Amino acid sequence: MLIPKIIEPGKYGTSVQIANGNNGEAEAYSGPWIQVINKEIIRDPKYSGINHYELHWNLPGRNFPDPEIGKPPHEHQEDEFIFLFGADYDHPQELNATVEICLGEELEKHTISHPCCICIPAGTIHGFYRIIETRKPWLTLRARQSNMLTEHFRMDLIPEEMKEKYIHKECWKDINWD
Amino acid sequence: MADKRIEPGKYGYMIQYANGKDGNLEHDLGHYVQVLDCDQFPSANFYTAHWTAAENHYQDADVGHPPHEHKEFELIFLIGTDPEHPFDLGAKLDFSLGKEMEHHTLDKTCCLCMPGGLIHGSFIPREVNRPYILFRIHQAQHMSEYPHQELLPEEIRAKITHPELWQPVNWD
Repeated sequence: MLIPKIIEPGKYGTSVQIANGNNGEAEAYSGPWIQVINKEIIRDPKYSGINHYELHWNLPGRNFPDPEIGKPPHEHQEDEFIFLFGADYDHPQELNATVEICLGEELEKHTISHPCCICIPAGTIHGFYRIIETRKPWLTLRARQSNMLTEHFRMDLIPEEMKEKYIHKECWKDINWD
Repeated sequence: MADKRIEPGKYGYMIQYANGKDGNLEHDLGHYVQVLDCDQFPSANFYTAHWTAAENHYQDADVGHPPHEHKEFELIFLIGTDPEHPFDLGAKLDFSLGKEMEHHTLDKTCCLCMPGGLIHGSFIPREVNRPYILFRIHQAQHMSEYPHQELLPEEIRAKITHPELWQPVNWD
């Protein structure tokens, strides 16, 4: 059941994009989608220069299909900026979660438990992106600095001993990658 | 002022921890979360995230952020903070678009998408029943702004008591 899109009326109504998840889809892996914005969603040539943005909740008890793998190592042709921030007004500098990400071909491991932006230059391998713990709901806003989304998974970097934990291979497919 | 956490490691520079706006945690409308720009990470566009709360308001609350334009594309995510009702903003705002100042009332989680050159504002928070997050993006390394207060009716313009806040930025 898709979430219906509410169209804002008026000559300039296109500039007010009311959230309806990921183009109507309600659930991301780790919590509800809030909104995805890109040139495919705003089909108006005046907006064709818009980059790709994704915004979703992360809730306690929710996780990736293979939690020990998370999102496997991958790269993009465009720069990516992943903002992780909490949703507790009284404690705006708390993430209320712990995530892990590996960066570079060396898969250098980083454990994150405070609000931040993970800034990933084009061509830099990143992942396993894993949610270790979600204590309270928190938010992810992912910005790709391009209007063309690309993604290439590097399954060759998954160590032999982790391969048996990687079950849901269908979740991670290359996008716009020759 | 908040200290900035530094992530160690060869790739630690890729994790930029939030510390408000250069350590300043208070915005007129609520707490800062993070400001990230090319001074912190070379290829970054301009990103800023802050809360908006009932007890906070613009210095000229009846005017809000007056009409203006940018050279670059701007997006403003208004994010309701109740995960049980993700599309409810928990607040009400007045917003105008175009030279005609076409009026829109905003009360749902949404993204305002303004191509460069599209005049927008005034942007006026009216009611905040639950604090929400405003996440603003300028698709450029240096944001630009040119004010258009001439579009405001005379009686509203007279309420601008802090004109220094609304001056051209990076505009030749």
